[in-house]
Amino acid sequence: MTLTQKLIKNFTLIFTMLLSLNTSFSQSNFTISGHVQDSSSGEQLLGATVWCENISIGVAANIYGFYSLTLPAGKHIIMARYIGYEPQRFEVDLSSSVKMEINLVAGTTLGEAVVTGDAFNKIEDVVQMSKMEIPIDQVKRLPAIGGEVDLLKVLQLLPGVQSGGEGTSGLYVRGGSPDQNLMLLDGVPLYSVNHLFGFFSVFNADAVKSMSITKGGFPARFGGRLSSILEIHMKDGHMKEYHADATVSIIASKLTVEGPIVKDKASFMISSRRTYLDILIKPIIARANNNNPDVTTDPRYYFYDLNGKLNWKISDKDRIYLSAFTGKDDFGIASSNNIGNSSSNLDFGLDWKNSIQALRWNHEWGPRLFSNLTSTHSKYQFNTGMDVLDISQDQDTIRMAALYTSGIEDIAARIDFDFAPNANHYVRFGANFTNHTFTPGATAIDIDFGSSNLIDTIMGPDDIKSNEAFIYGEDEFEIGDRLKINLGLHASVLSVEDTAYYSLQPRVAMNFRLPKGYALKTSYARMAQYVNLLTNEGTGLPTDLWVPSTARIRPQQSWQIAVGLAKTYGEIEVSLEGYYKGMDGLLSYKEGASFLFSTDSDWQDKVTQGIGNAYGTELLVQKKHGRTTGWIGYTLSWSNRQFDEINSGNWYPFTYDRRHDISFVITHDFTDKWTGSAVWIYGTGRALTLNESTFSAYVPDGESNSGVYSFSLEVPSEKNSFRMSPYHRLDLSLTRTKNYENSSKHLIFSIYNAYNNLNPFFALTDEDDNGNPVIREYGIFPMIPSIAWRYSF
Amino acid sequence: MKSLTFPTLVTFFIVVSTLSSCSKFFDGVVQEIEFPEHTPRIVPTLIVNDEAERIIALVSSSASTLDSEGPQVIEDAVLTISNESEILYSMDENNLFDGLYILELDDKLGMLEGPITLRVESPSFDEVSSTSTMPDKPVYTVDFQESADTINNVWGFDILDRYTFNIETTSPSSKHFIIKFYMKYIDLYTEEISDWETMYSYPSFDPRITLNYFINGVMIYEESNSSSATSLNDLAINIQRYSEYFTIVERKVVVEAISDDLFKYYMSLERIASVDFQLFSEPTLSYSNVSGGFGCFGLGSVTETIIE
Repeated sequence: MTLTQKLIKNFTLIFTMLLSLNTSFSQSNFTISGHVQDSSSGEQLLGATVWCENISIGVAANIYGFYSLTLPAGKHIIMARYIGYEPQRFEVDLSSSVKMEINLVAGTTLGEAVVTGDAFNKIEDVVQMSKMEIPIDQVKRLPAIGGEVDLLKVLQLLPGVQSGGEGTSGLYVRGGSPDQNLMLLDGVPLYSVNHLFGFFSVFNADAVKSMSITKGGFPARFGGRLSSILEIHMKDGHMKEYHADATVSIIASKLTVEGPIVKDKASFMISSRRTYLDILIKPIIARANNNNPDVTTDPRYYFYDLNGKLNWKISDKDRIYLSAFTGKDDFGIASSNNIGNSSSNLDFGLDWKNSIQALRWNHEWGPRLFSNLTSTHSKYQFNTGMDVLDISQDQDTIRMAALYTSGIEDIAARIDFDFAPNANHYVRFGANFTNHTFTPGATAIDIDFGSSNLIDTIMGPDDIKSNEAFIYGEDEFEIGDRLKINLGLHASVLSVEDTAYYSLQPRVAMNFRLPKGYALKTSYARMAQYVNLLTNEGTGLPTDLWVPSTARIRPQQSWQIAVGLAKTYGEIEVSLEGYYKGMDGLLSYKEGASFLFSTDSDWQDKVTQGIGNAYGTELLVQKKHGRTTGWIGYTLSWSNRQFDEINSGNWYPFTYDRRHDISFVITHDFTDKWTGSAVWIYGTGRALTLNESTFSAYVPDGESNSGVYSFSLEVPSEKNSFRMSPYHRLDLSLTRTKNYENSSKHLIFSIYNAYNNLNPFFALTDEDDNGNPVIREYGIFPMIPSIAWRYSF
Repeated sequence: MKSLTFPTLVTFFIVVSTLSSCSKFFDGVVQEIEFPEHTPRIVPTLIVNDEAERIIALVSSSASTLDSEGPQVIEDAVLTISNESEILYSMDENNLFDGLYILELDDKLGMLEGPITLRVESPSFDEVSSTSTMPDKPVYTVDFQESADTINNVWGFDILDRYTFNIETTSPSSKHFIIKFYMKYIDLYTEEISDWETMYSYPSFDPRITLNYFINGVMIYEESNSSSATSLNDLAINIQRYSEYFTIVERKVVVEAISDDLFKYYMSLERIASVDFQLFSEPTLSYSNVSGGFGCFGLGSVTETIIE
């Protein structure tokens, strides 16, 4: 019997036992279960809390809004809560298990959603640490570059999460690199989340219901990445009425439409966004080209994305979701030059696109057992190329074309179960299988001379296929009144090139209630990662390549321990966390290596593996409710790397090692019409390597080495031993809202970099006024004011 | 009126800030990065093989990147080459010609046994040294095949001659090799026979063969962790058949076994060159086996073969 067969057998046995537990339970306890949803739209409220006031126990709804709370027979007072919604209190008299759909009413403003008393799910109540959620409504009210709200840029404002540089959307979480973030859109991994070379992310806020990021203490249900789990859930679609939301900004326009297909049974949501710089400049380009019709230049750039979701409630126990996303960036320039009968045409292009599809089936096996079966497809592809066509006076043609392609495609299936045997235990278990196909860079070359095809070939490494699977089980339970524990195990396997890698990853998280309402939290998590992003640090371009672990490239692994204190003071949550993360199997280009347009057959010869660590302290003071909301975040951190073949084998600071990182985020409702927000951030300058000195050298030249060929060589500094200037910036935003009976209009003014600080983006060798060489930092983004208009009904 | 206060203020702020920011962002310069003080060091480069009739060294000082004068030749250096028991050769300012220290030998250098040490001193600098070992002479066979292949190019096609080498790797000191190709031809105009001229090889997909533009030849090595490493047999190297254009009267291949340090130095130079041509590649440092950190002392041994 193979290992996989054993796993399936054991998994089936456990499931059968749980199913019998689910139906035959002690008659002194009964279960209240169902969904927590928005009363007007039917949207599932994931993470909403259901709390039994008289015996002080409760649960949080899972990511599908399902809850299950087992209580002793008799009368109970139940309180249901969710951020931005009126709390709902009701009484139940349990003499049998009951199914109860809880419908919460949205507050007209955030200020009306008041959480008081011994509210469950306060920061000091939950076991999970290092996880942060920001309500989408709050995200939409924050300042945005060009008026285009970006979810990832908001996440960069949280402690422990850093940006890659001015304007970019890359996330560097607790000293990890961007490929170590598992970015899940409706449970499907996205491999590239950048638009416009990283200045925007692919997540359209209008289509999103919720987002959260977990930086440590990973529950066993997550795996496959070392540094963070980003969960973004699309809206399900309004179950009762049709609604639309349109936004016009200086960069892009968006339209979101949602509504019922069959009222209270099925709904849809579709949201699209497109930039229009290419359309706006077309008349200007056409006018410029008209001056000389024989010489034309036609630059282009646009991006679009399209989110869609169908939600079908088949029965009280079954629900199906179909989610899809596609997005593309297209950059290029075409030029032509005509002289008489001859012409010369050049077309350079660079595009990258993502698409995902997910089909999910929720099923309630009983009041205490819930399952979700998901099948997904995810594809990312990057192309760049050039096509040159020359036609001579004699109509002879010469065509030379090169196209470089890379990408990754996943087909996956996953099953998850939530089992709540009693009020003190919440068990999750499941399994996942993913088939990866990697295209680690192939170059197609086509050269034609008239009728003869001289070269028509594809060079580069072959596609690589791998299979990744994991099973997990976790239980969240209480010991006494003060200790809550989440204990789990995640076991994964990768099969690639006749090699198998196995990984057992224990996960533990504990919450110990201290006197005076403080909670001491600690967690330990081992993680393994079987996909790698080969990137030249700092560029953040889509030329980055996804490559798998192979027989020669061992998987990345990490272990992370975190300790923290948490407490809520009135409406203000405060958490202080310290962490240490060790990493192994990190992948990097060897010094001097690059991948673009490489025709080498084996990319593995160009990379090297090493180790790393990251440690630091994070402070978060957050106010989620009331007229004034926001947070203050501070991170003190270190992140280092060591590769035998880089920097002479010495440890060096990671490019995004940032000693201090501070963010102030505030949003205030001045009146019902006016809302203002401000963001101020400060970060230690980025580490960089510069050529520090120079010397003369030679190589022998000529037959019998009788001469020399001499030259100057530059000596780079110790890797990343220089620092750019600190980064700091203030963004402001002011929104005017006009509410009508069935619609509302919003006019949004925002200013990026309000006090016009020139932040460093890159460094170059230059000359001063006296002609002496100097190294200068250059900034690119001045103050950018913008305006956007939004209409929704 | 009160509700108009915010947009009015915002508009005013935007206009004023935009106007005031134009000049600041015109140049886009944030500030200059301060460099630490650089302490100049002696940087010697001395590469020689057993067939050499002269020893050539370049001795310069290192300089800060921000030094507008750049690295300078050290004119008062004293160089000694010694084995474990005695000084074999020495050079000083009397050997300085056009920025190079040159020592003409009475005969060929010949094989140097044991560890060989180069020391360089100058009154203004700390002494530096380096030790290397001359590898054994390469032992190989070469099979020449005229017009063995063709390859398309934009003008038509090239005819390729093929040289197939089997190099012995039994000597522990001879693991890395350079192969250079030379020819003598009859000049079309003067009808005189030329001196030895370099022939350039075509790129190869064999991972054991790497073109190195610095040395005008190919580097041969067996990387232990290479995915397709085998041995140094059946090394096929293609050269364009120049005899289409003129009459080649003689061909010569020069196989040089090089010390491990010299191999690493040449490979690092090739990486530096590739960084100049490849976007977004990581910065890289030239290899050095000199105690000061910069420069190279490398030894080689040569076996030539005239192709009949």
